[in-house]
Amino acid sequence: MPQPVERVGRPASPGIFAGPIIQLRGPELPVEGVDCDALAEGDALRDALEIATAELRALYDSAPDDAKGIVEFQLPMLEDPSLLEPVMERIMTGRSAANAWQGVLAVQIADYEAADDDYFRARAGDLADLKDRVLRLLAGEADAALPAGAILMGEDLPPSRFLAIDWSKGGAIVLARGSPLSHVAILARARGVSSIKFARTTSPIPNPSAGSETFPSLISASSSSYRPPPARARSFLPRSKTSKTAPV
Amino acid sequence: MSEARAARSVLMKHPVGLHARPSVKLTKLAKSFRCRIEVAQHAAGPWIDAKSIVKVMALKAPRDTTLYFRAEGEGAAEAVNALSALVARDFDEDHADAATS
Repeated sequence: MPQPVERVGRPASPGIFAGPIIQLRGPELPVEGVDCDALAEGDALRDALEIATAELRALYDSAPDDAKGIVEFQLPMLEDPSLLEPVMERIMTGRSAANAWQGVLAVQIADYEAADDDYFRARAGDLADLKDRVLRLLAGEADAALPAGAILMGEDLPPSRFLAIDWSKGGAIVLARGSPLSHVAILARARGVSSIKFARTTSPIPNPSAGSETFPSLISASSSSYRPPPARARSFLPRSKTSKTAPV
Repeated sequence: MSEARAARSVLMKHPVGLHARPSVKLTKLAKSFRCRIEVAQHAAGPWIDAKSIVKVMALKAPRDTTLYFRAEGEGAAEAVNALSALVARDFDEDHADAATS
């Protein structure tokens, strides 16, 4: 019998969970627009910021108390001239709204990532969250809620997307980036959601092959390991009972 | 009415420093005044807009920093007094959950 594959990471929130894997994707990166219509791009940015504000307000209203602070921090950013003026300046030089927004936010994010203090460094994730939300809106992508009861796996999970998930059905998170001080790690611990961070250099994040995304896997954040489905062993395993038979 | 000016400094004792939630409270309070308000970590500056969450967070002011406020315009004295009082009250925070805010 082929043995299951096991990968080890750093636990950010203890717990154990078995379920299907959902791959997290970031927004599409904007192409470098030149000679864009500045007026149209400015309007597009304003529309996107308006929708982002409405989305975050709705999230704030439904968020539990421990999570309101996260949204509360992002909301005033959307109307802060020190953020929006440089974006508009870039748009005036012919850049697309998405490119201008991405460029200005990237500078801010890099500034936080360079901070000496762990706490301030972890805030880079909150700004990336805001950056991605607006980029999705500019790209016309709907804010599709992530499914409940799954193992979410990817580079990073923005805190505002975490808040939009129904965790009452359980779930787990496996990420390549982030820190135990990130908002997602703090929220996950408060809700008993298993969470593991992979150090990208020592153990690259597992990449489930196509077709295996609905196959059950086991995550155990107490022993900080993730057990992906053995791709070639699928047909030998009992029907969708893998999670139950895997050692805990 | 003459243009009012006011300045005041206060020691910040918050355990994590000027992090997200205190910054939100500080900028919200600053925005409730019509006068121009600036904040700095040193008496000599650099001074930044106390109404900008981006700029205030970018200070990354740690614990035991003295914050300097100065204001110019309508309600300047009230503004620096209110802001100093907020910092002195430790942003009305319960430190048990300081790490989550």
